[in-house]
Amino acid sequence: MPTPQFILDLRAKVGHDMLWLPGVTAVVFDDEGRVLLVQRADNKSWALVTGILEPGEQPAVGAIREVLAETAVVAEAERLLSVTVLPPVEYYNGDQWQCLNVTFRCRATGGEARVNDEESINVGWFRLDALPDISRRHQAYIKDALAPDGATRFALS
Amino acid sequence: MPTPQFILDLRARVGHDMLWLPGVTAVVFDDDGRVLLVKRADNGRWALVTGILEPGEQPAVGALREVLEETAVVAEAERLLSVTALPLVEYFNGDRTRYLDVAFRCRAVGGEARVNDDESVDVGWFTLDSLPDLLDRHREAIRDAQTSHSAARFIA
Repeated sequence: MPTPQFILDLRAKVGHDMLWLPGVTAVVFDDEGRVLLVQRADNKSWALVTGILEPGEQPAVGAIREVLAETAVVAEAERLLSVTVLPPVEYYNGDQWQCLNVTFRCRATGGEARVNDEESINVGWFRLDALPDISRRHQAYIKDALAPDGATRFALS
Repeated sequence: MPTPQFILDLRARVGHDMLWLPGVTAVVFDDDGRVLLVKRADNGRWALVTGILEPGEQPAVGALREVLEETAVVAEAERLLSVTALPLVEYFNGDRTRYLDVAFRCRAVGGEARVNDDESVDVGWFTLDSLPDLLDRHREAIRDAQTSHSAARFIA
């Protein structure tokens, strides 16, 4: 997705200052148990679908919206896997962010995976024994999604 | 808690514009199964302990910090109950905020419940069959805390 309008409006007033915003990550499986990944345009690495929530948007709704926007896959949210604080990041332009991330396990129910916006240069379904190089954090989210139904993970410190 | 400094700093730049912020709600039980409530100074209503997360603060840590600040009760977070976007709040001064609320079930492990800051005019433990009038979402959080569902509730 492009940068949401509300963030552009905020940035016009706060400049590069740290913004603390809710975001989402989606671990989407198809009927064969493959996981949906995107190759990001910004750093060329493979990753789960992620995004920033619009103000007031329910996290599961935002996760499904991001999956559709980035991959043309229609999905349903099945389980809330974790709520985690991501490390602060500084973008190439100096903007500073920190994200409270909500991760969902989702199930694909329609659509054909393809590059659907300018955020990704590649989109694909990957078997769990043939995942490309992805961040440790995203590996952990996939592991959470594979665990039998359990409590939503959160950090105690 | 008083308004966090980072919000005062943001407000100085954005005025009353809508902010979209992570917040927390704590459903704290004692060993007798009573729930901890605060009577809010701003509207005189009983409520669960709520608060705003500092940038980068883990939600469970923020929830326990708020419980301690508002009630002097030391607690542990046991389960993440729900994550929900709440309706727009418009404050008396015109500030507008939307919260993404993360609710936890917590267990009191120490401290004596008392009014501990200027946010509350009363603090107390209530048995579940004698709860005062509460917001629907706080009643729902208390119900969530009593169920055995282990994964957090969300709105699809």
